[in-house]
Amino acid sequence: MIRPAATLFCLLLCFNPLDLFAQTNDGAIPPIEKRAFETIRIAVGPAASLHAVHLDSWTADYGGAVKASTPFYFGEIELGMSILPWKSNDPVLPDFMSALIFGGWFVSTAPEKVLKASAGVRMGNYFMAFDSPQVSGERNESEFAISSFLGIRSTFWRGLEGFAEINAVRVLTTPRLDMVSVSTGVSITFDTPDWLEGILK
Amino acid sequence: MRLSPILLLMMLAAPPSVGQTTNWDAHTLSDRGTVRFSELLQTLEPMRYWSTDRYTARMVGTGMGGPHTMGPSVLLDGLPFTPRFMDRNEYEIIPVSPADVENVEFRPGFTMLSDGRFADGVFNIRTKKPTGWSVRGLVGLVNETGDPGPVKYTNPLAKNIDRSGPTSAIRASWGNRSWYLQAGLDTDAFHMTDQRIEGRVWRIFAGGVKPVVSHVSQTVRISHSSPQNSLELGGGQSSKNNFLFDELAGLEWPVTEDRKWFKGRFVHALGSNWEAGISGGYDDLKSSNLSAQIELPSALAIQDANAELRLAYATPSFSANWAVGGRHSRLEQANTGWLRSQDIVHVRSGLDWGLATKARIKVNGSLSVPRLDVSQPAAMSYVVGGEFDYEKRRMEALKMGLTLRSDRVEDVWTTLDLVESGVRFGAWAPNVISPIFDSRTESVEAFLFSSSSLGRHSMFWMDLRARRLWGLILPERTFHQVGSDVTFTSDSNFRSGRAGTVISPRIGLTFRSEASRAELSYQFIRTVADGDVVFWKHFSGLSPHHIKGSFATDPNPRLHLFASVSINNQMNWPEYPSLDRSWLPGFVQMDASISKDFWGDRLHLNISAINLLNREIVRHPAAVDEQMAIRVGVLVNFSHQTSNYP
Repeated sequence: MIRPAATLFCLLLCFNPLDLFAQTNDGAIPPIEKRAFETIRIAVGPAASLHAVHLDSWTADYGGAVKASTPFYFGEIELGMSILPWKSNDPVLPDFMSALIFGGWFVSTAPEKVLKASAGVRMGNYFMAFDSPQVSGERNESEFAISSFLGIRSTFWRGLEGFAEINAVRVLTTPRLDMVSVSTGVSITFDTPDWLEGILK
Repeated sequence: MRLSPILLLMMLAAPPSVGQTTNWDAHTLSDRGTVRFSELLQTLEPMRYWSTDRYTARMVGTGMGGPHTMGPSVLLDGLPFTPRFMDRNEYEIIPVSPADVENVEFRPGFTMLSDGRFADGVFNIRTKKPTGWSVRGLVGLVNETGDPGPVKYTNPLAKNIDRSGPTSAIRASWGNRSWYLQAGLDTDAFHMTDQRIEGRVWRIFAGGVKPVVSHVSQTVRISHSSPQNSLELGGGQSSKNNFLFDELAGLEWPVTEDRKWFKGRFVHALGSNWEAGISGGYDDLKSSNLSAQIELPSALAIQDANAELRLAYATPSFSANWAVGGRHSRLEQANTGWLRSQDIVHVRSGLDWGLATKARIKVNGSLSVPRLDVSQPAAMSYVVGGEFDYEKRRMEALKMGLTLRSDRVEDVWTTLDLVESGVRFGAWAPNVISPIFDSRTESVEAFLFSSSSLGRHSMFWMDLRARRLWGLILPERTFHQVGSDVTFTSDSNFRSGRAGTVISPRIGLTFRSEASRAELSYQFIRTVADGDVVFWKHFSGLSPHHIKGSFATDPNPRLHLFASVSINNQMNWPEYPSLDRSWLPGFVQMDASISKDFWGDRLHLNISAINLLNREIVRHPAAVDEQMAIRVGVLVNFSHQTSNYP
């Protein structure tokens, strides 16, 4: 049984909290509130499911994930979506497409390091669109989901980075759907436009 | 010395009750992330409540009146505003959203309001009145977790869990330092998809329509304030579809409640110390039934109008007020005809006298009597209270008081009055046995409040309260569960002359610094029935031991965190004799909220986890089993200034 809370706790123990306030390359320690929302990082890449509980009648195909993150007053916050198609193993049951739309918060190791590690939590809604209707005529279901994740990323050219992460997701259905998924990809970081920074702040 | 109009309006509006008041400001309240006014009231420290459905909260104040009391009344900017029907105050349809609230004051104990009605506790609500043009809105959604998801295809009997919302409140207003005009629209929806509720409602509902409790309300408000005058006017209409579980029948009621209302108050300064005011209100309720499988109570029409003249005198050390008013109520039922018309006159007075710089005495009295019986003392109802206050220094006070109340049932909004008037409830509640209504209810309540400072930021307080009641008319009823959890039948045989005592000590700690606020309290409730089984059965139902704590902090001015915990031990509902329902297990509820302001103060986003532990919570034998729920609220605000209150 995957326990997202326990997993997150173990992941967070791997991080030095002092890294949150680590020095930048020029040696200055920026005020936390000044740094908040200063940049945006957009990441995109493929995703796959490694393990799922209570979804024995379906098998996940390859999907994708996209997310945007920005520095927060402490750590970073993000918004994102990951999509996975599920093929039925039973001809009586329909295939379905799942989309997890989430918001999250995470902490990373010091930004000046070449290889950075991250850990955080996410909360969102898990939408399921089925190929055939239920008895009631409805085709869609949705439920809240929570997840914890561990990731690494490395800068290879200016604001471009490569990343990989592993997610433990719990969809709060009855019974609970517990899943482990991975995603990889590239991300680009740029300065937040003034108008958007004004809204976020 | 001249009193400011706003202060005067609040003074005239303030009910002449005694007892310790508790205040919450807008900042403290917005941290809680609630999206409904009724939800907001539930989070306040002294409030005890239960619910059968996670939507219609039966708020019972500090619990001194037992779990079936109608609950505290609401004053909205000084105007009595409590929608009532069938023994309950319908807080969920009051057209105020948490985003409207500038300040909440709660005062427990008996009092009479300017509409001539007795209240057991009062919420005094002050709303925001931004200057300039303003458009603002709140949209909220509460979704209980636990839907079956893909399992619906492998188990077609699996049911979705309750969804509550969307709830919305839109306000458009204009104001300056003198005038304020506001138009408002409120909507709400609660989807009864929980297996337990669905099982019940489909015994009654018909027509293949999904049972959704919905509410729409339109309001208009006008305020004026000048050194001489103060005016508050409001009017509107609302429609609510479907009425959830009622204990008279032990069933839901597919009914539409259409309401129209108008309230007003005008205060004029008569020199430096004297002020005069006039207030009034009109409420109109018409019920109409929706499709049902059984015979429902035929349509009811209730009209209620009231008016009061008031005179007040105030100096810094002494104030007094006198009021005289009356109300007219009318009750009619289709197929039965005109049933009742009441004319009741009332007088109220209050005295607040500063004995020394630190000590005060307050005395208040109210009396009402049917117009046709004004010469008969036996027909009178009254409430009289006295209080002594000693405030040594900030956060260090001692208060003690005593209230006496004696009244006859004379209110068309109570179920008892409907029964007495001859309302027929059809097959919905066929076994209501009419009592003989010659009983007078009497009660005496004493309290002692003490607070001590524990430093600059914290305070310890203690509130000891006891209430003795005689002559109550209470239903002797039993809810039989036939076959399954979702089937109830009840016989409501009203018995008069019931008596008993409720004792409740409360202690607590409060902490408040610039960025953080914390509250911790413990309440013990003890019911002493002296062998009166009817009283005991009716007054059981609240957890005897109740601990409530909350913590709010602002890591920075634009980020707000709030967490609360409520611990209740097991409770007994002896009206439900089945072994698995008469005793309900205790529960721990933990909630957490995070709020962030965006775009200046124009956008406010809140996400809350309710029942974070995801442990089963059952508040009532007929209630749904509550699971973890996620609440999302979005507030949009385009205003020049958030409030015109200094």
